[in-house]
Parts: sequence; structure tokens; C-alpha cells
Amino acid sequence: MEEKKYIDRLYQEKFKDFEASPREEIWQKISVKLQQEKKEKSILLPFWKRTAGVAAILSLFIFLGEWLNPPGQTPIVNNESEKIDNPKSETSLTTVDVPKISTPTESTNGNELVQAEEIRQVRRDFISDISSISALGISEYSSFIEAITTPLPKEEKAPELNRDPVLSLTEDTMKPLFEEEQSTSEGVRVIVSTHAGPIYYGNLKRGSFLDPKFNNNSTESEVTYSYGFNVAYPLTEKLKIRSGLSKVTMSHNTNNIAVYSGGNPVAIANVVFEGNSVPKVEAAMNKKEPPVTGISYDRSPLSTSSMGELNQRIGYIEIPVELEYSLLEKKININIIGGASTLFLDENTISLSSASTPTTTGEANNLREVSFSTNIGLGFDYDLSEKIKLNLEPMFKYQLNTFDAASGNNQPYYLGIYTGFSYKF
Amino acid sequence: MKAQEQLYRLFSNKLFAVCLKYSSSYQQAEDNLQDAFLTIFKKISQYQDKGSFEGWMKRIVINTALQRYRKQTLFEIIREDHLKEPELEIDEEMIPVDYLLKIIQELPDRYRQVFNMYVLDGYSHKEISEILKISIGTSKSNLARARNILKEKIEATHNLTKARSV
Repeated sequence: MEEKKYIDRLYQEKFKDFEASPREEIWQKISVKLQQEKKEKSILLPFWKRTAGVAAILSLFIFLGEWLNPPGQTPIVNNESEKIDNPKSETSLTTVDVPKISTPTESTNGNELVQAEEIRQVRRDFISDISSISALGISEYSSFIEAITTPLPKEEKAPELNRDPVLSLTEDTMKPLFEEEQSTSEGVRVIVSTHAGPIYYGNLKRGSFLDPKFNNNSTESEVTYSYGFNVAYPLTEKLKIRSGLSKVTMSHNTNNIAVYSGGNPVAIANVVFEGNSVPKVEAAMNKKEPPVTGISYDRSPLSTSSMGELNQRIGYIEIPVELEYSLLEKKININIIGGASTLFLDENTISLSSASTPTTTGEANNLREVSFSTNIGLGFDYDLSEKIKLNLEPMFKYQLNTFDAASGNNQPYYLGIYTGFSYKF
Repeated sequence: MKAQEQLYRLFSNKLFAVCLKYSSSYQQAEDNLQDAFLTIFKKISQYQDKGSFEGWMKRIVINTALQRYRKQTLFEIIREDHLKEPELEIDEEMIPVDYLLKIIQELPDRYRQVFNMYVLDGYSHKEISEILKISIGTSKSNLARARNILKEKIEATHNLTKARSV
């Protein structure tokens, strides 16, 4: 079988010292790419670290502030001191007690509300600062991408080196290479993603968030949206930890509310309406127009009523901390995600509307400023390119201590289907 | 930057030769060289004195070249006569390296890869089968076919030139 070896020998002989010079252009292309990579790493990464760091610190301050100075306990300077404590119980009138709904309660309530409102406003300012910083982060990011993709100035020509192939690698050649690489290799694998998606709000227990008398009313959740961004950092090959910032709003309607235009005001337990107006509502027993019933306490004409609904709209700034574990890694990756979020109340609106009365708006007074949720979900990622992925993440988030202790044992949750893109640095 | 450029200047000639052997065109070889060097610079912190540095770089170059073909499905028409053993001997002196390179580049990709890896770069059939994800048998037959095609071409040219010189 000499023939076989013949060809082998021929090629081995001829190619033993075979070398070929590539065009100078090739080096130019390589060095341009190296510059780009270096610039990207050194500019974008510290910036993201800083932004995320600031957001985390600010949220920590707010949390501490909440802890040290919870609402409802600020001292109120007022001569009607006996009516100060627990103003919530004042508004949940179940007995018809018209004469007592008079100035003393109003003024203490007013002061208490103003104080609480101030505290909330300060928190809102902090929260909007965080959102504006993160918004700034996102806009800065896109302007940095632009800066990087503009062409770089031409490099000066490299000096002619001794091309002796026998030159052995000296330490002087190798060392700087290693050092350069070390300085740019930290934190290389951060993944930033943005997401948005519809939210469905619900309650695991049958009951009303607003007033126990509506516990049997039908409710429905309106589709609302959440949007935000996440930063993920790999801990091991399959496990990542991530945090981020997002805005989530929920909205639900309570139906079959009978709204009376005359008669006695009967407040809704957990709702405070604007101008301290107290509406006149009852839960309607069935879906038809409730019959005109009864006479009013002060013998005013019979009240008329119509069907209405109560809408509650809640908004939070959410800071999640979650772990992402990779179950399957192919073109489409499947992960399981679990963790918890801190929720800062950002929006709280109640509106009562019906055919016959103008819409009254107010807010819930039983929502905590800071609450939490435990989250679980699945993540599906599709690789669009080496660095960019498309994400789809259905998540179930069960809320904890959303409401103040007194308002029944409801178990709110929300389901979201988050979609977005992620970019690997 | 300077250190990286120095490394490039020292080794680009040798490594470009490797690229040329594994590619099917000059253009492709250039692309390979670029990608390979970028990978080398990126992974340099992973080199931990495991054998010769030049050998490490060469392996990266070869892997970069092979990756290009990884996603291709192989529909190669196998001509039966390539399995026959060739017979004549040839005067080695007369064959220029450029020609040998050209006919290597003309080989079907899989044959070229196996030939290069076995004959010129010292991989065993077992190693080739693991890297290219083919069976050892396929590796051996690809090698045989590559040899035959090359031999035929060389002979054809050689006979032509011999005829002319007479």
C-alpha cells in the first residue's frame, strides 16, 4: 500500500514549511473590531452597573423610610383628640348615624389625610426619580450604541517587525497580552432585557377588596400592562440571578353595584372618595335594576337607583429579585423562574360609575405603600443572534400583605405574559 | 493593542497557511484568519501552558475553519471510481506547492477536512470522528477518496506536462 502513503508524503513534504502572507487589510479589520469590543465593554458595562446600583440604593432608602415612618401614625395636631385614633373605623359606618357625620370627624380626617398624602407624595417623588433614572439609562444606552458604530479614526501604521519565524515568544510579548485581557474580561456576561406584557388581576379567595358587602358581587379583571427592564447575571452555567425595575398596573371592576341618588349615604369600607363625599351604594342582589325601596331616614322622597360598577385601578413600581434556572438549552431555551418582588404603590384610584350619577373618584385606604409578591413562572428564549434573544415569560405573582390587616383575607395575585428582547454583553 | 499586533505579525503567516489548506477559496481563508485571531485574543486568558502556544492557536484556527461547515448537510455525490487505487508514480520535483494547494481547495469539504487533519495535522481517525461527528469508517473512506482524487488530478496534469515537454 505504498500508493496511499505516497500522496501523504508528497503533501507532508511540500507543506512542511508552507507559509503565506495575508493582505495588510486583514490586520486592519481585526484591529478595528478589537477597538470596538474594548470600547463597548469599558463604557456600557460600568454605566449599567451604576444605574442599577443607584436604583437599588434608592429603593433601599424608600424601604427603610417606610419601615421607620409608616403612614397613619403621624401625630395630628387637633383639639378633637378622641376622634383621631384609627380614623379608618370612622369611615366604615355600618349604622345609620347621620348627626355624627359632622365637622369634628371631617376635620380630623382631613388633617390625617393631608399628612398621609404628604408622605405619599414624598415617596412618589423618590419612585419617580428611580423611573426617570432608569429611563435615562435606556436613552443613554441607545446614544452610546450610536457613538460606537460611527467609524473610528485611522490607526497609525505599525512599525515593521522582524519577521524571523524562529523568534521564540518572550515573556515581554506574552505578559502584556494576558494583562490586557484580564482588565477587560470582568463582568462580561451580563444580560439586559426589556419586557412588556398584559396583566390579568385576580383573587384566589372569593371576596371583595373594597367592602365585605360586595363579597358576592361578580368581578372581572381588565387587561392592563406592565413594562420594564431586567438585568441578569449568571451564577453558574445553568443558574442566573436577576433584578430589574418595572411598572405594573392592575384594574378590576366590581359589578352590580346599586347606586342610589337619594337616601342615606352608606360608605364603602375601604374607599375614600374625593372631597370626602360619601356615596350611596349597595350590592344589588341580581342583575336587574333594583326596585325602588324604602323611605329615607329623613323622610326625603324615595330614592331612585341604577346599576353601576366600581373600578379599582392599582399601580406599582416593582423591583423583582429572581432566579432563573435553565431546563433546556437549544435554539429555544426553557427556564424556570422563581423569586420575589418588592412593590411600591404608585397609583391608587377607585371610580364609581353608573348611568344616573356622575362618576365619583377616590382611592382605596387599605392598600399598603410597600408590599411584596412571590413569583413563579417559565421563560422561553429564542436566539435571534449570538447576543440577542427574544423572550416570552408567563409568570404568576402571588401578592403578600397587599392590604392592611383589617380588611378581610383576600388573596390577590396577578398573571402576566411578559415578552421582550434581551442583549448579552 | 501593541501586544496583540505583535502576536499577529509573528504568527499570521503560518496560521494563514493553515487557513488556506482548510478553506475552499482565498476569500474564505481570509475570513477564517480574522475570526480565528479574534477568538484567540478573546480566549487568551484561557491558555494555561497546556502544550505549545503555537499549537493552541493552530487548533483554534482549525476549529474556526471547521465550524463553517458544521451546519451544512452533506449531499456529496460519491463516484465509485474514486475508490480504486491509483498506480503510477510521479516526479515530485515538478509539482509546485500552489498547485497542490489549489487541488486541495477543490476537494469536497468533508474530504478536504479529513485529509488535512489526518495527513498534515496529525489527528487520528478517532479524534477526527469525534470532532467532525462522523464514524471512524467514514473518516477512513473520506481519506481514501481524498487521496484518490488528488492523485488523479496530479497525474492528469503531470501527464499533460510530460506530453508537452516531449
